[in-house]
Amino acid sequence: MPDAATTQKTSNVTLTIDGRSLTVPEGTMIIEAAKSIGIYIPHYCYHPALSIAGSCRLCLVEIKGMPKLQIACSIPVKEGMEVFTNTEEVKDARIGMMEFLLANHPLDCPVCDRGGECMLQRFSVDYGIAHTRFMDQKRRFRKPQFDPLIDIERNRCILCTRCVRFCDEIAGEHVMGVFNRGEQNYIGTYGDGPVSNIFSGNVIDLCPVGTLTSKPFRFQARVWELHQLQTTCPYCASGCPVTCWTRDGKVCRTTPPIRKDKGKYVLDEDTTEFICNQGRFGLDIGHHAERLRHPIIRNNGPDAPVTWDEAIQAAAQGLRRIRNEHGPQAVAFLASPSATCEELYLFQRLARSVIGTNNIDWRGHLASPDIAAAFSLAMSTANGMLDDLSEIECVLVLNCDLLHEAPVTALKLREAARKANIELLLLGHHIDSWLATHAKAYLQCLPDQEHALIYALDQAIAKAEPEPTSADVDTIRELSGAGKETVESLITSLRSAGSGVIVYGVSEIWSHLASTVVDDLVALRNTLGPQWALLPVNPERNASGAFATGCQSDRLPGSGCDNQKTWEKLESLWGKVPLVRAAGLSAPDILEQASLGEIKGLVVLGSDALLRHPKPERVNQALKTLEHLVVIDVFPSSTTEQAHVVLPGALFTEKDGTYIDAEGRLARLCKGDDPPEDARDNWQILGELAKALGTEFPYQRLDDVFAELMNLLHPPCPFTLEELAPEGPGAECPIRCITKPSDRFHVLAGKYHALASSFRPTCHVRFAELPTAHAEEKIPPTVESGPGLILTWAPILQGRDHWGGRSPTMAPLRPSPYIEIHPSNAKELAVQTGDAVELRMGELRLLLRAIVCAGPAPGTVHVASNLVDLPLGDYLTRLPRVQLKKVEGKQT
Amino acid sequence: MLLEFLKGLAVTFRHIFKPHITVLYPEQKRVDAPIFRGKHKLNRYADGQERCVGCALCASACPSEAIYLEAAENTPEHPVSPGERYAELYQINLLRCIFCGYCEEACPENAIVLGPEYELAGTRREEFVMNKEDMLVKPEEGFGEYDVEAVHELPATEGLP
Amino acid sequence: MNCPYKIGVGPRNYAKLQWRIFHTLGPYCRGVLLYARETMSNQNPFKPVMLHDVDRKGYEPLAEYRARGGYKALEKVLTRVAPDDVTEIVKQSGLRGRGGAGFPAGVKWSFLPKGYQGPRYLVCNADEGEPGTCKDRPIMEKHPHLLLEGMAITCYAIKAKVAYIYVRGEYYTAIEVLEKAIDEAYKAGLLGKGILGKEFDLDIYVHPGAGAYICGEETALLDSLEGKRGYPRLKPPFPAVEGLYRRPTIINNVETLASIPSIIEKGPEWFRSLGREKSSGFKIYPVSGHVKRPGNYEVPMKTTLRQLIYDHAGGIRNDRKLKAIIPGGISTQVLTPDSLDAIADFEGIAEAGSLLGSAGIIVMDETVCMVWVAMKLSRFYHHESCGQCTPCREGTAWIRKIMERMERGQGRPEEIDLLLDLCHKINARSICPLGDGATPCIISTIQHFRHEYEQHISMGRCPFRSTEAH
Repeated sequence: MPDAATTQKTSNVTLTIDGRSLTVPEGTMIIEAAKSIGIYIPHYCYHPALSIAGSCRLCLVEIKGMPKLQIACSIPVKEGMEVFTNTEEVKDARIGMMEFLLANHPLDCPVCDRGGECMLQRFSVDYGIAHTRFMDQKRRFRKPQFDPLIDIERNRCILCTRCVRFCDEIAGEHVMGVFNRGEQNYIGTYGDGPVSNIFSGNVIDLCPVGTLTSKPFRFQARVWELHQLQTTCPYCASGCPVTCWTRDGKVCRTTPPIRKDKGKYVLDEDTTEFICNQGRFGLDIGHHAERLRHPIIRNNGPDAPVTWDEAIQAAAQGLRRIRNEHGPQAVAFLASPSATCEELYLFQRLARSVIGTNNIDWRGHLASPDIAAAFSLAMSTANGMLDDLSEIECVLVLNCDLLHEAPVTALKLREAARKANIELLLLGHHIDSWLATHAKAYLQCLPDQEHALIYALDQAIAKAEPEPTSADVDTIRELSGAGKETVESLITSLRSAGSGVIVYGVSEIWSHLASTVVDDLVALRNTLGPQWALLPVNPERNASGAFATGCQSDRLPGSGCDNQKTWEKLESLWGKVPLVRAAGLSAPDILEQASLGEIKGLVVLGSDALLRHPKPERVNQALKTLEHLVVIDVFPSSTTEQAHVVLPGALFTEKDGTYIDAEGRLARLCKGDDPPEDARDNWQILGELAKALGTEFPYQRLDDVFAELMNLLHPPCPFTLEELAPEGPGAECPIRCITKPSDRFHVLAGKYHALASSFRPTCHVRFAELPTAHAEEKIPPTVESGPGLILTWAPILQGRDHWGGRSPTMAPLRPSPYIEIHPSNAKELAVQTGDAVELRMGELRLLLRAIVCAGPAPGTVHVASNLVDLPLGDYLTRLPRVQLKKVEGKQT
Repeated sequence: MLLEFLKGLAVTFRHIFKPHITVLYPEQKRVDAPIFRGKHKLNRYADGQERCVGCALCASACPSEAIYLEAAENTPEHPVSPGERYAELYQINLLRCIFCGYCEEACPENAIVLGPEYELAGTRREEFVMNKEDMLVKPEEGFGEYDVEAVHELPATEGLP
Repeated sequence: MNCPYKIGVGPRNYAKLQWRIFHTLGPYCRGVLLYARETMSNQNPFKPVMLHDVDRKGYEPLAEYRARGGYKALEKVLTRVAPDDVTEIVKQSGLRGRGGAGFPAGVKWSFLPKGYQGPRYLVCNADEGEPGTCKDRPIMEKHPHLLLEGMAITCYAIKAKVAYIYVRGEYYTAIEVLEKAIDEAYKAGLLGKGILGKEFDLDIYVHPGAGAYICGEETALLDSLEGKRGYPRLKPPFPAVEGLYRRPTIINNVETLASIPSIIEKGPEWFRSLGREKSSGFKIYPVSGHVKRPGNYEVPMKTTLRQLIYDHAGGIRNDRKLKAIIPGGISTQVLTPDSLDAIADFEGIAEAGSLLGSAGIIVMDETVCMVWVAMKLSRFYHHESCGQCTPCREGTAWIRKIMERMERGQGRPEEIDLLLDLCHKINARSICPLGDGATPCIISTIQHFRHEYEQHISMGRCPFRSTEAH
């Protein structure tokens, strides 16, 4: 990669390539310089994100004054250099290399899944010879099976080692390697184990030939038959753009965004955008057998045929009755943070202008109003972005297992830290041990000491002296147990960095401490200076969108509830009806009031937040008490079972819309298929519900909703929904289908106007209203007293979730329930990674797999809350202590 | 005027005695040319395995988009074709087909050929969508010019894993 | 004083490896592994430096070495010569690397980045894997202290504090001897902290290889030393800038380093006077093959091939006719008897159309089938190619397959030109010199003995099959 940032402030170099003069920064490799003026030098082993191997020898070029041909991928440009990429000798060399590469190649293109986008095929067109001179027996390997997702065919391998380098360098796991010697070299994994990291799927795209192919995609279709859908991943707040390759509306595979080549959209083998396995393999739930396909009215029985009209009328009637009998405050609305911005906007309009209540929230997974308040504070102070890491000097990650919550954000940070573009600092009771390998320093503390540690750091930095005072250092050392040098280097890094971002995970802040920790972070940010920003990371995809669209009791679209101007603006926009300005209830309060019988009607848009609630029995009890429950969802759940009316909605591949990720980036979701059978697009369901309730929404198209929403947001988004569509659904790609003629219509209907290829608009939505330092009121923390280790928890991306957990591909790959133990505690327990451990918490006994890593602080252990069945809801005001015991003779 | 009339009749009479070009179809059937392009056939190997590996090159070569296929992976117990891949679903819509023979040209395995059969009438549209069973040659029909044994998995080179 | 990263193979395993080498290389290796019994002929007034008393039993212990003036040169440089002046002396002597490439040693040392503060290393390349070459082995097995002294002087010159000797894994005697000699030197204060009471520290570690030919290539050697897979690295950066553990590193051959004490002691002029202008000094020539007295001969570089083969090595076995000479290990072009009068130095051999390389002279008489020779050598390169880059990995295998058929008489007429074309496509396009080394034997045998190839094809068998050599 032309790492401009690593070679600080480089001078420029002028050279000529094929007679064309160009100026590039010093240190650029010839291959990149040529690319910048549109000269493509063929290559296999070179990849801009990986180290240079120089082994394929296809990129040989002639350089004036050098006796031999040189490889363009490893020779940096020099002043006055003359490079020729197309001379007879160069062509001869490339023809030679292609002949060598194809000598032992099985030439099984008809059965190879890479056929059509294979780099061997591509360069054979230019440099292949038509006949073979190789007369002997070809080399043949047996076919091993070592990974559940990656199929390997060694006979096709050209040993470019891209996969090996990816695993070593980017995924940070030495799992793949080259074995044997010489001609008998082959690619494999150590011990024939799987490529187990969460980014392993990227080796499939990186492989320039058909050696590593996707098992879920195996023989599903030839790539030229697929329709490309440029959309965004719906799973986490990293907000990666992805391309879904669909056939007859079914998602066959998902890749990073594609590139345009000779008028066609093709896979980009040289992409530096990597996606995680959950996004790559987990998007195949559209045609899941469990999908809700028909509206259900509970009184009619679950299997009774119900028309949409009946269902909508039933839903509206119940709500109308409650509103008329008990007033609008007896109705509440709970949205899912996985819904699109447009849906959320319509949902809150439904609540505020149609029903007339502010009882609307998206935080159904929160257990107490305190945490909800902390969330509001965290979201409203978020102003950090990691888009351009070259402009940031330092990133402080607090309490966030980024690899398991937002893997691609973690990848970006780790890459920047690995290339020494940023200084990475980690802090908290649970750090990301994967990021820790490239962190400059990390401090760990007990979960109840966090705010004290942040406060102490704040105090140490606020002092005017150039060196941190020993008293401050001692305080921090006492809290963190870290060495003097670590503490000092962390403080020095924080003070010296000109700009930085504090990234913190909101899923690991517990109730009684939540507000304090966020307060302290805001204060720390204020101390560090205006160039520092805060970035809370929610595990939910569209939490920022829900906040921005005002789908929250104390928020309006684009501003807080106390902004009278917004109220007036909304009133004029929404048909000049006076809106109820009374404060609404937050999600924990809604559930509380529902179980008390005060809230009688509830509309749920997507039940995934409720399903993450730490006390499911409390949710069930609240829902049971309701008089009328309307649920719009895609999969059945415990919530839909309680519902009086269930309205089947659309999944992410079946609807248009926008998502906002943790960094505030607006991303477009594109429709590639119709919802199955009777299911409908959510925004239309909401519109019909409003109509049935007596107020017709004036929107003709989704674009109108988007335009209205964007007008309310600050800063106003300059794009239309259509413009936000990333380039490229395959206009050139004809859809072939004769068995299911109706499919042809969907795909064509989902085709969008393509923009110029280099233009991908981005729009940031941020609401940084930075408060000044807060009162230093500290609530005494509580941890259950007694012996044992403190248990902490957070959800992970690959957990048993409402959507992602249903993917038939990803379900078997979900990690078995594990417990992270700090090496010092593991030593006491004589536990190693992979051992079975019995966890005792009160009467509860649970068998877990031990992972020994630096993630949890000494004295604490950490579990993924959506993998285990622990009554974590009982521990919202004091952290539990657990006893661990190694179970002999069991390896999990 | 009569002369002209007789001239015209002369042409008529001359042709009465020339041999017929048309045949009395369906009682009589015309002998077709060896390269006649009629209904498609899917060939087999001599051991009965299908030649088609489901590569879909025929479908992409087809100018009228008449071919649709879905591939699947062979199981070692019941291999349908040599190698890993076979066509699980292979359909040709004869109403769309223009019998250009491009599929035959494109086929890397010599699996699909256009046969001599041209009696393709039907009464319902569904009848014109041919499945694999309609096109595969019956084992008793022989294997034509492609009567060779299937090339099965070659053994691995000695010393390699 | 063992290297912490030492990946040792127990000495007992070496016997197996050694047997494999014999087996692979055939009769050409057998001669060269013997020591020269009668190293000097009477006509040569030159007193051997490195092969002094080479037929002794066991190695020369420290006391004996010091008694005959050993470690005097080290003492001299430590007391009287500045490090840069040592480099200057070596530069003046015109000492060229003895490992094969012949790069002037002093010039190499001066490539180290000036003013670099971090650690730097000296690595002694004792991975003598080139078939036909066995010149380093007697030095290490008989005069280890000569090598250690040379290394100490070099480390002083390049300001290195740590040096490694990467010894070929099969040389288990050499490894044992070197370990013993290093222990002796530590005890006598010739290694370790404050050598000879001066401000000079040096630690030397012995690292046995594991039998890969490619690890004789300097950058692959560094990778292997670091504990990685022995893959040659891309150049630039050259090891002098970024070598072992990404630090500046100098890599020199055993013979180069062992020549240094005598240069310091007797002066660069004496050294220059022994050779011609561009190839100065003395050198060990391992002569093997069909000669009467195969062995190592240490002579001034003015000597001709004829003198080496007929005077020193006693002429061709059974007084047969000479057919071909490989002048510098198997990576060099085969010469015909026409080149016998060439002087065996870098320029002389280059003029004759080959390379001096490591100077391992392999002599073949008229009973040898050159196609068979080329086949055997192509097998070696196929076996030893590391497989990193395309042309060498695929090309050597392809050539081997063709050569094996060719030798059986199953070649095709067009395949002779195919071989030349393949060689052309490998040459100068691989990462390391192994690719370049794999082709000269094929190209030169086709060039000089094309008729033998044609004979194989037309007869359908090897015409030499019944001869003694096979």
